[in-house]
Amino acid sequence: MAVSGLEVRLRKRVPGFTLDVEWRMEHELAVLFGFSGAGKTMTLQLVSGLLDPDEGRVALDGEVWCDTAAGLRRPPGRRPVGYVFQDLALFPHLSVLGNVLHGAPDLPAPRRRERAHELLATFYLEGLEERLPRELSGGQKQRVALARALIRQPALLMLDEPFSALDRPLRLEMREVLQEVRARFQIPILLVTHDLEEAAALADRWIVYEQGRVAQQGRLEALRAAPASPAVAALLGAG
Amino acid sequence: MDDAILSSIRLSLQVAFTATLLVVLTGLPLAWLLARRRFRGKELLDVLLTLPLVLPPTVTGYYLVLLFGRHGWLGGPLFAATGWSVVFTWQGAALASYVVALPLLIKTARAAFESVDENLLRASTCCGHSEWSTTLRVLLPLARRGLWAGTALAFARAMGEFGATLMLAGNIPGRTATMPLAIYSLAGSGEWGAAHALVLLMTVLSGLFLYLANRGAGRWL
Amino acid sequence: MSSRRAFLSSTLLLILLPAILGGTPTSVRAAERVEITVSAAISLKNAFEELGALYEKQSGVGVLFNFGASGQLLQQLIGGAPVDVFASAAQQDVDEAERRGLLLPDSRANFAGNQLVLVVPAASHSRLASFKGLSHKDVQRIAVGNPRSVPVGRYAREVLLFHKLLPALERKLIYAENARQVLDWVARGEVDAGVVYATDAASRPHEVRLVAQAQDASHTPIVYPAAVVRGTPHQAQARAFLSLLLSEAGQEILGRHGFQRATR
Repeated sequence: MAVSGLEVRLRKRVPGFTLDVEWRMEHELAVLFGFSGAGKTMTLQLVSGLLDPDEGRVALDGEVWCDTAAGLRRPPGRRPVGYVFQDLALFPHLSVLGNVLHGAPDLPAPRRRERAHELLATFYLEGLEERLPRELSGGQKQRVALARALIRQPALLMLDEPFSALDRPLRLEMREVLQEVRARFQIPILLVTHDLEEAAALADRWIVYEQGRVAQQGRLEALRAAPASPAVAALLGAG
Repeated sequence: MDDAILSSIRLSLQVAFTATLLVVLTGLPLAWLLARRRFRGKELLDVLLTLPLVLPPTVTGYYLVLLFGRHGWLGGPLFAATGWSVVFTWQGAALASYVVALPLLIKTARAAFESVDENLLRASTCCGHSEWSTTLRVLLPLARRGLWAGTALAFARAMGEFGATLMLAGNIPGRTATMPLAIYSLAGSGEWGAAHALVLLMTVLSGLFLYLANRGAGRWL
Repeated sequence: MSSRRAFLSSTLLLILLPAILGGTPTSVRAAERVEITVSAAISLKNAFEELGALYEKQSGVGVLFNFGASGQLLQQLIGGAPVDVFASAAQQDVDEAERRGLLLPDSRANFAGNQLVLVVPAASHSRLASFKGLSHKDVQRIAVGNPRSVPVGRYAREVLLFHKLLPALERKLIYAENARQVLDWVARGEVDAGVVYATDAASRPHEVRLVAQAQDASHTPIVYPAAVVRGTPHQAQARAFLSLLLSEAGQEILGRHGFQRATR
């Protein structure tokens, strides 16, 4: 039985907070939606392997990345995930090209360079190869982070509130970029945000978090028609 | 007499370079361990490594003699096996300098490592880099100013070591009498002119290393 | 608010405590009790501590000892250290002090003599039997005082020169900062042999073994001079200490520690 998509079942307890979620997504763009502190970033860290769950299972297209019951755990470097951090985490001491190249350590150098230049072209970063991150605009930095995440041709792309620091025109611009990525790379994209408008514009599927649990998941219309709780209704409601 | 002065300068540089090299080779991994790993007894290790920084040099010297003297816990077997002892040799002076300079590098380097944004290291891991690769390509370059500052401080300390050196290596002109020891002897025998010259040189050199340490630390701090 | 006041007042109390406890009785005692400071060669340590106790008992005057290598003590004197009596292991240092006008010349007197001996660690299997034997290859490290500042080092050098062992032996020599350090290195086995005063060797009889005594002809006579320092506010008490050194009681104590009578 070929299972397609990302399957996530995670349970983790830290002082003052418990995460207990189970959800799945297809090869689509899913938005992890909720207030700050709901466990969204923790989920991304667990899926990427930076954190380990107390109990749970993570698998993509049938390939198991983590299964506590079976004692299976793939280290973060071995999971084909592209991860764009909340503050982008661009290496300040490396150039644009250097940052992107850093994203594919296992590729032979010539292949790596080739792909890097492809991506730089895709993201309109040509000419900026030697610039340092501090010399870039907000939008340019975003695109470098995306290029770095995608150079390894990952099977899953995760973004943690990537556009929250940008002003409105840029946010709209980056939404377009993301749509392009989606069209070109055809991989599942998991986007964390608390911006309703952004989520509405991008999401195929919504996964609504509330205090460490999944309050509801599905398509927006379905959620709005039958919200699982007043809180969800409020989150999605007005507008 | 000029011989004694010149040899003390040569010895100081020889001892300080050797000690600092050892400090960097052993101190960086230790600082990395303290910064990047959690383990039982970690803070105890930190205290043990920092002790020579706060103990009087004579106490440090006492322990060194206890350990490395001809009949010491480590020196005894060494002497029995090879007929060689580190006492009264320039290697002994380097050892004393190493012990007192090590904590300076470890403290500075640890702080430098810990000041690197954890997110950057996580991002590197997610990109697929091994811990070693991340350390080499991200951690070290970003911590390098602090590391340089720590090395400069360690070097200055290694050059200025007196008490522990005196106890372990003795004050032997041409063999272990580094500049601080030579100054002590010259002052003790009333040769103030020569002492003045060395004192001036030591002050200039120490000041130079402090300056380099500060410059290295500049943007990092 | 009251807890802060409590904290402040208890801190204040803590700071003032030493003053309160140290208080009046000591300061009154300090005003009455005179103390003299004696800078003495370190080889005199054991004997002088006993002499000091006797002096305090007899005169009611306190004695503070400052032991070290005679050369170092001389430098301290030159630097203006507030010392009342200077007792050295060699004429040279007192000569220099006198030349600089630091002493009361009429107070100078020789109060003891000493011998130079060659010692090895007690536990050592060394077959060393004489000074000449030091050139044997089995002897790798010889401790002597630093001739620049330590009299026992100068005497040792004279003996080695007398036996024509220098400059060949130079590379085996390990210089110590004072006489007691030479002894300590031999006692601890850090060196194969050392040249020390007979009195020092006698002070640690179970840790060092006597090999040979230097002939009188091989070195300047080891004579300990002492003198009162010029400008001392306690001249009478200082002179009294010197008198004790030269008295029958003082000489007896020195003799018991292995020193010879001074030949004036």
